Amino acid sequence: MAVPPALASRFLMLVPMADLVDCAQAHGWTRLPAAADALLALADGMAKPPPLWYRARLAKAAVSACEASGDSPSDLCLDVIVQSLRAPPSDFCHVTFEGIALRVLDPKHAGSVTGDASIGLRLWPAALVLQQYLKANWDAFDCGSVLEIGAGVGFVGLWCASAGARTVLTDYNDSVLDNLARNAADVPLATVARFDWHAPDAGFVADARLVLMADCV
Amino acid sequence: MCAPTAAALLTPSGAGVGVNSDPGDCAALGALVELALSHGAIVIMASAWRNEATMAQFLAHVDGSRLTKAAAPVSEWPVRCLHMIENVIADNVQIYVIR
Repeated sequence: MAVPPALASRFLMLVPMADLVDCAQAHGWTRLPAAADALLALADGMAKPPPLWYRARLAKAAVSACEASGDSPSDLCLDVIVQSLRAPPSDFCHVTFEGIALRVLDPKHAGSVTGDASIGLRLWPAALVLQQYLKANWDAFDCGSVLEIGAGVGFVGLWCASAGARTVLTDYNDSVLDNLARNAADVPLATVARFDWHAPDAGFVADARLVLMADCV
Repeated sequence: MCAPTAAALLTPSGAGVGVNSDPGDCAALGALVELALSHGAIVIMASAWRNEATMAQFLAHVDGSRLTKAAAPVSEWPVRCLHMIENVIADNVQIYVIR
Protein backbone atom coordinates (compact mmCIF):
# COMPACT_ATOMS: atom_id res chain seq x y z
CA MET A 1 0.00 0.00 0.00
CA ALA A 2 1.52 3.32 -1.07
CA VAL A 3 1.99 5.88 1.66
CA PRO A 4 0.84 9.41 0.74
CA PRO A 5 3.90 11.74 0.70
CA ALA A 6 2.33 14.17 3.16
CA LEU A 7 1.78 11.36 5.62
CA ALA A 8 5.29 9.98 5.16
CA SER A 9 6.86 13.40 5.69
CA ARG A 10 4.94 13.87 8.93
CA PHE A 11 6.02 10.43 10.03
CA LEU A 12 9.65 11.43 9.43
CA MET A 13 9.21 14.69 11.33
CA LEU A 14 7.97 12.81 14.37
CA VAL A 15 4.88 14.91 14.75
CA PRO A 16 2.66 14.23 17.75
CA MET A 17 0.91 10.91 17.32
CA ALA A 18 -2.55 12.47 17.33
CA ASP A 19 -1.55 14.72 14.43
CA LEU A 20 -0.19 11.76 12.53
CA VAL A 21 -3.48 9.94 12.98
CA ASP A 22 -5.39 13.06 11.88
CA CYS A 23 -3.22 13.29 8.79
CA ALA A 24 -3.79 9.63 7.97
CA GLN A 25 -7.53 10.10 8.24
CA ALA A 26 -7.38 13.28 6.15
CA HIS A 27 -5.82 11.20 3.40
CA GLY A 28 -8.61 8.70 3.55
CA TRP A 29 -6.81 6.16 5.68
CA THR A 30 -9.70 5.72 8.02
CA ARG A 31 -8.25 2.58 9.53
CA LEU A 32 -5.25 3.41 11.65
CA PRO A 33 -3.92 -0.17 11.73
CA ALA A 34 -3.55 -0.17 7.94
CA ALA A 35 -1.83 3.22 7.96
CA ALA A 36 0.46 2.12 10.79
CA ASP A 37 1.45 -1.04 8.97
CA ALA A 38 2.27 0.90 5.82
CA LEU A 39 4.34 3.48 7.70
CA LEU A 40 6.20 0.84 9.69
CA ALA A 41 6.94 -1.06 6.49
CA LEU A 42 8.18 2.19 4.99
CA ALA A 43 10.49 2.71 7.97
CA ASP A 44 12.10 -0.67 7.36
CA GLY A 45 13.45 0.61 4.08
CA MET A 46 14.72 3.94 5.34
CA ALA A 47 18.41 4.67 5.84
CA LYS A 48 17.53 6.70 8.91
CA PRO A 49 14.11 5.58 10.07
CA PRO A 50 12.28 7.35 12.86
CA PRO A 51 13.57 6.13 16.23
CA LEU A 52 12.22 2.89 17.58
CA TRP A 53 10.39 4.57 20.44
CA TYR A 54 8.39 6.64 17.95
CA ARG A 55 7.60 3.65 15.74
CA ALA A 56 6.56 1.75 18.85
CA ARG A 57 4.16 4.52 19.79
CA LEU A 58 2.57 4.25 16.36
CA ALA A 59 2.36 0.48 16.72
CA LYS A 60 0.78 0.81 20.17
CA ALA A 61 -1.80 3.25 18.79
CA ALA A 62 -2.63 0.75 16.06
CA VAL A 63 -2.94 -2.08 18.57
CA SER A 64 -5.26 0.04 20.71
CA ALA A 65 -7.40 0.74 17.65
CA CYS A 66 -7.54 -2.99 16.92
CA GLU A 67 -8.58 -3.77 20.49
CA ALA A 68 -11.36 -1.19 20.27
CA SER A 69 -12.68 -2.63 17.02
CA GLY A 70 -12.18 -6.28 17.85
CA ASP A 71 -9.60 -6.77 15.08
CA SER A 72 -6.34 -8.62 15.52
CA PRO A 73 -3.21 -6.46 15.52
CA SER A 74 -0.71 -7.13 12.75
CA ASP A 75 2.46 -9.10 13.33
CA LEU A 76 4.43 -6.05 12.18
CA CYS A 77 2.99 -3.84 14.91
CA LEU A 78 3.51 -6.49 17.55
CA ASP A 79 7.08 -7.05 16.39
CA VAL A 80 7.92 -3.33 16.66
CA ILE A 81 6.50 -3.19 20.17
CA VAL A 82 8.51 -6.23 21.22
CA GLN A 83 11.66 -4.68 19.72
CA SER A 84 11.09 -1.50 21.70
CA LEU A 85 10.64 -3.42 24.91
CA ARG A 86 13.89 -5.32 24.37
CA ALA A 87 16.00 -2.40 23.18
CA PRO A 88 18.25 -0.65 25.68
CA PRO A 89 17.50 3.04 26.14
CA SER A 90 19.35 5.17 23.60
CA ASP A 91 20.62 8.59 24.52
CA PHE A 92 20.38 9.86 20.96
CA CYS A 93 17.90 9.92 18.16
CA HIS A 94 18.03 11.15 14.57
CA VAL A 95 15.70 13.82 13.32
CA THR A 96 15.49 15.76 10.07
CA PHE A 97 14.27 19.34 9.81
CA GLU A 98 14.36 21.48 6.69
CA GLY A 99 16.44 18.79 5.03
CA ILE A 100 19.09 18.85 7.78
CA ALA A 101 19.71 15.48 9.40
CA LEU A 102 20.68 15.80 13.03
CA ARG A 103 21.78 13.49 15.80
CA VAL A 104 20.33 14.98 18.97
CA LEU A 105 19.93 13.95 22.56
CA ASP A 106 16.73 11.96 22.79
CA PRO A 107 14.45 13.88 25.16
CA LYS A 108 12.99 10.60 26.37
CA HIS A 109 16.35 9.33 27.56
CA ALA A 110 18.22 12.55 28.22
CA GLY A 111 18.63 11.92 31.91
CA SER A 112 21.89 10.02 31.49
CA VAL A 113 23.65 13.02 29.91
CA THR A 114 23.92 16.01 32.16
CA GLY A 115 25.88 19.22 32.55
CA ASP A 116 27.04 21.51 29.76
CA ALA A 117 27.01 18.69 27.22
CA SER A 118 23.32 18.06 27.71
CA ILE A 119 22.64 21.66 26.69
CA GLY A 120 24.72 21.52 23.54
CA LEU A 121 23.33 18.18 22.46
CA ARG A 122 19.71 19.29 22.32
CA LEU A 123 17.79 21.12 19.66
CA TRP A 124 16.50 24.35 21.16
CA PRO A 125 13.61 26.59 20.14
CA ALA A 126 15.80 29.59 19.34
CA ALA A 127 17.69 27.59 16.71
CA LEU A 128 14.48 26.66 14.95
CA VAL A 129 13.24 30.24 14.96
CA LEU A 130 16.62 31.64 13.85
CA GLN A 131 16.70 29.24 10.92
CA GLN A 132 13.21 30.32 9.92
CA TYR A 133 14.26 33.96 10.16
CA LEU A 134 17.32 33.33 7.98
CA LYS A 135 15.27 31.40 5.47
CA ALA A 136 12.85 34.30 5.16
CA ASN A 137 15.60 36.95 4.97
CA TRP A 138 18.45 35.09 3.29
CA ASP A 139 18.85 37.62 0.49
CA ALA A 140 18.96 40.55 2.92
CA PHE A 141 22.37 39.60 4.28
CA ASP A 142 25.83 38.88 2.93
CA CYS A 143 25.84 35.18 3.66
CA GLY A 144 29.04 34.27 1.86
CA SER A 145 30.84 33.26 5.04
CA VAL A 146 29.06 32.43 8.25
CA LEU A 147 30.34 31.85 11.76
CA GLU A 148 28.00 30.18 14.21
CA ILE A 149 28.87 30.56 17.86
CA GLY A 150 27.56 27.98 20.30
CA ALA A 151 26.36 25.82 17.41
CA GLY A 152 25.29 22.87 19.57
CA VAL A 153 23.81 20.20 17.30
CA GLY A 154 24.42 22.53 14.35
CA PHE A 155 20.97 23.00 12.89
CA VAL A 156 21.31 26.69 12.01
CA GLY A 157 24.85 26.54 10.65
CA LEU A 158 24.24 23.36 8.70
CA TRP A 159 21.17 24.89 7.12
CA CYS A 160 23.30 27.92 6.09
CA ALA A 161 25.92 25.61 4.60
CA SER A 162 23.28 23.68 2.72
CA ALA A 163 22.02 27.02 1.39
CA GLY A 164 25.46 27.75 -0.07
CA ALA A 165 27.29 29.62 2.69
CA ARG A 166 30.80 28.66 3.73
CA THR A 167 30.06 28.06 7.38
CA VAL A 168 32.20 27.51 10.45
CA LEU A 169 30.23 25.92 13.26
CA THR A 170 31.83 26.35 16.65
CA ASP A 171 31.31 25.18 20.19
CA TYR A 172 33.51 24.36 23.15
CA ASN A 173 32.54 21.15 24.91
CA ASP A 174 34.28 18.00 23.59
CA SER A 175 31.21 15.80 23.38
CA VAL A 176 29.25 18.61 21.74
CA LEU A 177 32.00 19.08 19.17
CA ASP A 178 32.11 15.34 18.51
CA ASN A 179 28.39 15.24 17.86
CA LEU A 180 28.57 18.42 15.81
CA ALA A 181 31.26 16.88 13.62
CA ARG A 182 29.05 13.84 13.03
CA ASN A 183 26.16 16.02 11.98
CA ALA A 184 28.36 18.11 9.69
CA ALA A 185 30.17 15.17 8.12
CA ASP A 186 28.07 15.11 4.95
CA VAL A 187 27.71 18.86 4.48
CA PRO A 188 30.51 20.04 2.16
CA LEU A 189 30.56 23.74 3.06
CA ALA A 190 30.45 23.18 6.81
CA THR A 191 33.48 22.97 9.05
CA VAL A 192 33.56 22.43 12.80
CA ALA A 193 35.95 24.09 15.21
CA ARG A 194 36.48 24.65 18.89
CA PHE A 195 35.95 28.27 19.86
CA ASP A 196 36.69 29.80 23.21
CA TRP A 197 34.74 32.98 23.83
CA HIS A 198 37.40 34.15 26.26
CA ALA A 199 40.26 33.56 23.78
CA PRO A 200 38.60 33.69 20.38
CA ASP A 201 40.40 32.76 17.19
CA ALA A 202 40.55 36.16 15.54
CA GLY A 203 40.77 34.54 12.12
CA PHE A 204 37.31 33.03 12.38
CA VAL A 205 35.86 36.35 13.43
CA ALA A 206 37.66 38.38 10.77
CA ASP A 207 36.54 36.05 7.98
CA ALA A 208 32.87 36.00 8.92
CA ARG A 209 30.39 38.26 7.16
CA LEU A 210 27.54 36.92 9.24
CA VAL A 211 27.82 35.78 12.85
CA LEU A 212 24.97 33.71 14.27
CA MET A 213 24.07 32.89 17.85
CA ALA A 214 21.07 30.97 19.08
CA ASP A 215 20.41 30.70 22.79
CA CYS A 216 23.89 31.89 23.72
CA VAL A 217 22.61 34.59 26.07
CA MET B 1 5.95 13.92 26.77
CA CYS B 2 9.57 15.01 27.08
CA ALA B 3 11.54 15.21 30.29
CA PRO B 4 13.60 17.07 31.20
CA THR B 5 12.27 19.77 28.94
CA ALA B 6 13.48 23.23 28.06
CA ALA B 7 10.42 24.42 29.89
CA ALA B 8 11.90 22.93 33.02
CA LEU B 9 15.05 24.97 32.47
CA LEU B 10 13.34 28.16 31.47
CA THR B 11 12.48 30.54 34.18
CA PRO B 12 9.02 31.82 33.44
CA SER B 13 9.49 35.42 34.40
CA GLY B 14 12.22 38.01 34.62
CA ALA B 15 15.59 37.17 36.06
CA GLY B 16 16.35 33.51 35.86
CA VAL B 17 18.90 30.97 34.77
CA GLY B 18 19.77 30.98 31.10
CA VAL B 19 21.98 28.76 28.97
CA ASN B 20 24.91 30.97 29.83
CA SER B 21 24.08 32.48 33.13
CA ASP B 22 27.77 33.10 33.82
CA PRO B 23 28.19 36.88 33.57
CA GLY B 24 31.80 36.38 32.51
CA ASP B 25 30.72 34.26 29.56
CA CYS B 26 28.16 36.82 28.51
CA ALA B 27 30.65 39.65 28.80
CA ALA B 28 33.12 37.68 26.68
CA LEU B 29 30.42 37.05 24.13
CA GLY B 30 29.60 40.75 24.04
CA ALA B 31 33.25 41.57 23.39
CA LEU B 32 33.29 38.94 20.68
CA VAL B 33 30.30 40.51 18.99
CA GLU B 34 31.93 43.91 19.11
CA LEU B 35 35.05 42.40 17.50
CA ALA B 36 32.95 40.88 14.71
CA LEU B 37 31.22 44.21 14.14
CA SER B 38 34.57 45.95 13.91
CA HIS B 39 35.41 43.61 11.03
CA GLY B 40 32.20 44.59 9.27
CA ALA B 41 30.20 41.48 10.08
CA ILE B 42 26.51 41.45 10.93
CA VAL B 43 25.47 39.51 14.00
CA ILE B 44 22.09 37.84 14.31
CA MET B 45 21.12 36.55 17.69
CA ALA B 46 18.11 34.47 18.71
CA SER B 47 17.36 34.06 22.34
CA ALA B 48 14.61 32.43 24.32
CA TRP B 49 16.03 33.54 27.60
CA ARG B 50 14.88 36.43 29.69
CA ASN B 51 17.74 36.72 32.07
CA GLU B 52 18.10 40.44 32.45
CA ALA B 53 21.31 40.22 34.46
CA THR B 54 23.27 38.26 31.88
CA MET B 55 21.73 40.21 29.04
CA ALA B 56 22.96 43.37 30.73
CA GLN B 57 26.48 41.92 30.89
CA PHE B 58 26.27 41.15 27.21
CA LEU B 59 24.89 44.53 26.23
CA ALA B 60 27.50 46.34 28.29
CA HIS B 61 29.95 45.40 25.53
CA VAL B 62 27.65 46.12 22.61
CA ASP B 63 26.52 49.52 21.43
CA GLY B 64 22.78 49.31 21.98
CA SER B 65 22.07 51.63 19.07
CA ARG B 66 23.39 48.93 16.74
CA LEU B 67 20.89 46.39 17.97
CA THR B 68 17.53 45.98 16.26
CA LYS B 69 14.78 43.68 17.37
CA ALA B 70 13.38 41.77 14.41
CA ALA B 71 10.11 39.96 14.07
CA ALA B 72 10.64 36.33 14.93
CA PRO B 73 8.93 34.17 12.32
CA VAL B 74 6.74 31.43 13.67
CA SER B 75 5.65 29.13 10.92
CA GLU B 76 3.56 26.08 11.44
CA TRP B 77 6.24 23.45 11.57
CA PRO B 78 8.60 24.91 14.14
CA VAL B 79 5.74 25.20 16.56
CA ARG B 80 4.81 21.62 15.89
CA CYS B 81 8.41 20.54 16.32
CA LEU B 82 8.82 22.53 19.47
CA HIS B 83 5.90 20.76 21.00
CA MET B 84 7.47 17.50 19.95
CA ILE B 85 11.01 18.15 21.06
CA GLU B 86 10.99 20.42 24.02
CA ASN B 87 7.41 21.33 24.59
CA VAL B 88 8.26 25.00 24.50
CA ILE B 89 6.32 27.62 22.65
CA ALA B 90 8.21 29.70 20.14
CA ASP B 91 6.96 33.07 21.27
CA ASN B 92 9.64 33.08 23.95
CA VAL B 93 12.19 33.60 21.20
CA GLN B 94 13.38 37.02 20.10
CA ILE B 95 15.58 37.80 17.12
CA TYR B 96 18.11 40.62 17.34
CA VAL B 97 20.13 41.97 14.43
CA ILE B 98 23.31 43.80 15.41
CA ARG B 99 25.14 45.77 12.74
